[in-house]
Amino acid sequence: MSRSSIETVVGLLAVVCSVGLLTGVAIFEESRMAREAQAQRAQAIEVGADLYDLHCRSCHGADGKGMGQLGPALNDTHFFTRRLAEVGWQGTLEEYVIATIELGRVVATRPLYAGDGVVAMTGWSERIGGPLRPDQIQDLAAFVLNWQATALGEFEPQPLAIPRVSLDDPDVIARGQMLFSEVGCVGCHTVAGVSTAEVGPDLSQVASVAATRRPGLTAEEYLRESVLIPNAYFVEGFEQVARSAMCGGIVSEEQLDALVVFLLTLK
Amino acid sequence: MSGDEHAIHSPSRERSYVVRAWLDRRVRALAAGLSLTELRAIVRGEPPTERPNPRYLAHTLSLILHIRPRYYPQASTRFTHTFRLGYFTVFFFVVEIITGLYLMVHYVPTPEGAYESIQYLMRAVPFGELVRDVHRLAAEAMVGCAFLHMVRTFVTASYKGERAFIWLTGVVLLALTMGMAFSGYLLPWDQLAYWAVTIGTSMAEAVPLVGREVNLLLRGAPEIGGAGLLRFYLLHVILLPLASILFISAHYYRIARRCGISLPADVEEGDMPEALRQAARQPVSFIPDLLRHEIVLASVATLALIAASWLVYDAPLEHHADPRHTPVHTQAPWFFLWAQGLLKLGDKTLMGVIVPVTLFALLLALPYLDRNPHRRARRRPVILSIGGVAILALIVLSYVGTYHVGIEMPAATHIIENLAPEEGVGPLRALSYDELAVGVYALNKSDHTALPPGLARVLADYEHQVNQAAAQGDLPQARAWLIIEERQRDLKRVTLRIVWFDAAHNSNLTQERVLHVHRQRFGTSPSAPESIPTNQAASAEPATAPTSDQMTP
Repeated sequence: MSRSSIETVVGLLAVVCSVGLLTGVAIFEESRMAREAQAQRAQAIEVGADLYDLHCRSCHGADGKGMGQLGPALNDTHFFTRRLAEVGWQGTLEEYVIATIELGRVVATRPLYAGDGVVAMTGWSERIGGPLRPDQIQDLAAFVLNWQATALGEFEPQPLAIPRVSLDDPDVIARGQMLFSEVGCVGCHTVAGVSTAEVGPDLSQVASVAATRRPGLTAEEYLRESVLIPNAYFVEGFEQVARSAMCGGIVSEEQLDALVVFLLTLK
Repeated sequence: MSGDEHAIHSPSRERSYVVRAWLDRRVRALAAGLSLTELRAIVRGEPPTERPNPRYLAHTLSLILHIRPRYYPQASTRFTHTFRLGYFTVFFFVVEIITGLYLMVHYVPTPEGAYESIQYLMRAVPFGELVRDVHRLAAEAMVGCAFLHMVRTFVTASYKGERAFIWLTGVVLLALTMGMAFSGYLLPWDQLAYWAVTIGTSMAEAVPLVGREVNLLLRGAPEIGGAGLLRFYLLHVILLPLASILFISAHYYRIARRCGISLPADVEEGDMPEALRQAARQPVSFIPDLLRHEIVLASVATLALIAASWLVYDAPLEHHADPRHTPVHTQAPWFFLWAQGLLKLGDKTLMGVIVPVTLFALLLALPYLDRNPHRRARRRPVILSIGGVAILALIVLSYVGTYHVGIEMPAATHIIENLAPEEGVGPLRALSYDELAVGVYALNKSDHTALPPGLARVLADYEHQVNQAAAQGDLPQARAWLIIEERQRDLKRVTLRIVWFDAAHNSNLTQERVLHVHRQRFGTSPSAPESIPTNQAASAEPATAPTSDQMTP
């Protein structure tokens, strides 16, 4: 065979193979696109989870079960089955979540939660001065909606065997005492031997009275609630202070554990 | 003659003659003067059917062919003389235009829409991913071929005498090619793109006197945002391609009309028998021999591009660009790593502007600086040595430009980045979803033997790295955990946490990375786990949650 014939054959073979490959791509293209869509949704949920931990969990809870009266549960049946009807939303739940994150909740729609008289949840969209881009809000919505299976009881996450924080662990008590100063509690409260401020109630013996303050709440539950929502209960003489307190929900769950353990030692 | 007269006088023959004449005119009009008979002869490899040679006429009549030589000396068509690098550069440029048009249909040049439009292209546009992969691969190949073409021209001394102008346009084309690749780099608007381009354009700020203005002109604002993206997009799809077409045309036209492709130096200057020299200068017609050769090369390269893009190569797409978060590893594209290397060595104005501009000017002036009339390598030892050193320096600088060199990273960050990099997969994310067994795994305490093999391997690797850093004194009294929790259906939360004692502050320090892993992150069929070197067997003991550690940011 001459060189030109070999070249012609090679060229033709290459064309035939290219057409064959493209046909192969075309045959699998639909399933590839479906897989890609799934992967992108999964990646959106992953990114949404990171953003949730950064911005939302302090009010809605790490597991989406709500956080005291700070924020309502998102991971519950009510949210997935009745919330849209409750607010008369015409679109999908995902659109509702996106709209809520974007614009916030100007007035509370459920009196149980924070926001009675003040903005319940600020808008998070960068369009109105918040920190989140549109794609991040969509990722967050994808994550929130992924709670559906758990909320409807179709799936139960396998619990992690972490021992509960021991109430008499000296390390945790020491950490709680340190946090009491670090996060600024010392600016308002007196604790004998730790601080002397008199803006808020004296906590030197708070563990003794905590169990009697709110009917139905144990000392631990009362202290947790007070750290999260200072105006949930007014100690006599401190009503005005409690109303204007800006310290609700500023600690992480882990810090909250340590603080409560420390406060429970103040008898 | 009488036979022809008879044919014309026969009505049926007359019709046939008219039809053939009409057909011949149409074919000649379409095929730049080549008749049907001539085309047939070309396909069959037969000599020209008319005089003067109609195959040369095509070079006068055809817009595209008029910038190609009518014939080449036999020696200059040797594969080892050119390696077809210039041809492949232009071939990849044409591929870029075709695939680029397909991508342009779907691309949205705004910070809000760009990333989503690439995702849309990949999940909802038929052939979208393939076209994107081909576009990216061909772009990288084009940069590589343009550079190698220039090296080849330098080594064979094909820039001398009247070829100086071709060299000049070639240097401009190399700059344009890099400009197109760089401007295209930003368009996906992901972290990789955003930060690579931020580094690249930061050099503009260092231009003496007008740095601020140059930077503003390029970015449209002090930081890269919507205006910068639009400018890069317009540079990428209009200005740079048009300029490239102009310069490619000038480059080709000069070769076709003035001096042809250079002969190998040994043919021009060597002590070769006259017969061989004449054979080397024997003309090889462009049509059909070289045209066929080029079509065959294009077919094979197209096949290679499609096959590589489908089977091997994936154009990267990292997380959405985030101006508020600088990734751990920020690196320029590989063809600009040398510039990043230069920046690491010294002052931004000197290394980022003065040195590169001087190098570019030297490259442009090469034909005028190198006054040695000879072309053979043995007669050009000085300039070839300088070239060799320059290429070596380019390679070393590129290595210096990578994040491996000169970037100090704390040991704990380094270990965590090795196992679960911010971008890309890494050993931990490469595990299948089911291998991520829920639990708290304390290094050097937990028993990993009963765990899924992939997870045990990652834990052993983690343990080895932490122990090594502890032994070297980088992480004194190090303790480390891997915690895997189930968060939602098909979603797990994985925490890597390293705690060590910091003598300077007399307290514990903690480095932590949390990542979420979804079952379908690779689509329905997860990719195979990467192989991870196992350095030692895992040891054992139930885990304790590190809740009481003092956390210091």
